[in-house]
Amino acid sequence: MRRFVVWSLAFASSLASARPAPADDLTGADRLLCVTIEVTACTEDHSCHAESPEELNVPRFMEVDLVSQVLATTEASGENRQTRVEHLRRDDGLIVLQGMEQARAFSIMIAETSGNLTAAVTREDLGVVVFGACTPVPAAGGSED
Amino acid sequence: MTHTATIVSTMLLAIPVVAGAQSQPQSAPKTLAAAIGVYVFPGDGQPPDQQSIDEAECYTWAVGNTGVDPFELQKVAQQQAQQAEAAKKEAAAAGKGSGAKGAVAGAAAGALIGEIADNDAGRGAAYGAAAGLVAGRRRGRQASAQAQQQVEQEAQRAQGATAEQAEGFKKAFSVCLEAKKYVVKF
Repeated sequence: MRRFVVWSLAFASSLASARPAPADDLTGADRLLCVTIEVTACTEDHSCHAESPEELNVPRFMEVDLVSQVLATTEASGENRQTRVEHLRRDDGLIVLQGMEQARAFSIMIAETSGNLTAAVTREDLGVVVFGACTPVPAAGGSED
Repeated sequence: MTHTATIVSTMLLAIPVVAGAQSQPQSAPKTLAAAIGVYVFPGDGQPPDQQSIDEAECYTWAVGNTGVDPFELQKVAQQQAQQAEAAKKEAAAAGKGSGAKGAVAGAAAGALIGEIADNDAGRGAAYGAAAGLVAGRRRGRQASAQAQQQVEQEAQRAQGATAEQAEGFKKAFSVCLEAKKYVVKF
């Protein structure tokens, strides 16, 4: 019986390792660190073009504070940019952040179970679509020190 | 037989007369009334010379009465048409090249979202310029369309006013000729 349990656990473990690596689960997290992976820009009379984040001044990393509702660049980037979220909704496994700043409207959707980020930033005659991924930021004071 | 021969000979004689009448184009001088689109018939059997004199008198009277001279009116109408055409071209040209101005504006700074696609050093500048050009062209097209519409409305109003003045003159001209026992239609 004991051997059977051991073999069963080993088999289950092998099955789990065969699946793709699970993405970050953001359930319950209030602060996220998001990374930009792909950026595509579309204009009215041009086709859409994939660009690097730097080309369109999209931050590589972005901290999302769901409590204070602020998007900010990381301290390490030295950019010190931030934007206030006007509308936040966390429902049905999704985090939706929306707002407007300097003639740009943005809508960011983050899936809690996968950490996948999909965002659209639009200005007149230009749309920028951003794909990325997010991970929870450990609470302050939670380190090994 | 004699009767038949008379008919035939009459027909033969008539042919050259008819043919001659057809070959000669009517080159009668255009009367003053015809020139302004008014048809005048001498109801009292007035001779052509008298009709010309009467038309001239009535023309002068109608000009004095209405303040409108149809020949001057034609010149004014032509000038208005030329001006309207020139204004249309100008309005259409105003829409072109207005994209560049819009592309210059649009600088933004100091925010995470607000700075996206507005980087002077990167592709954002190009996209910003392209977007500005598109917006500028769109505004230019709208302004041009509005200007052209205004020009057309103005031209139509001017044409309407000119037609109204011409109508008034013809009425006055007709009243005068009718008083001189002519049958008049326009």
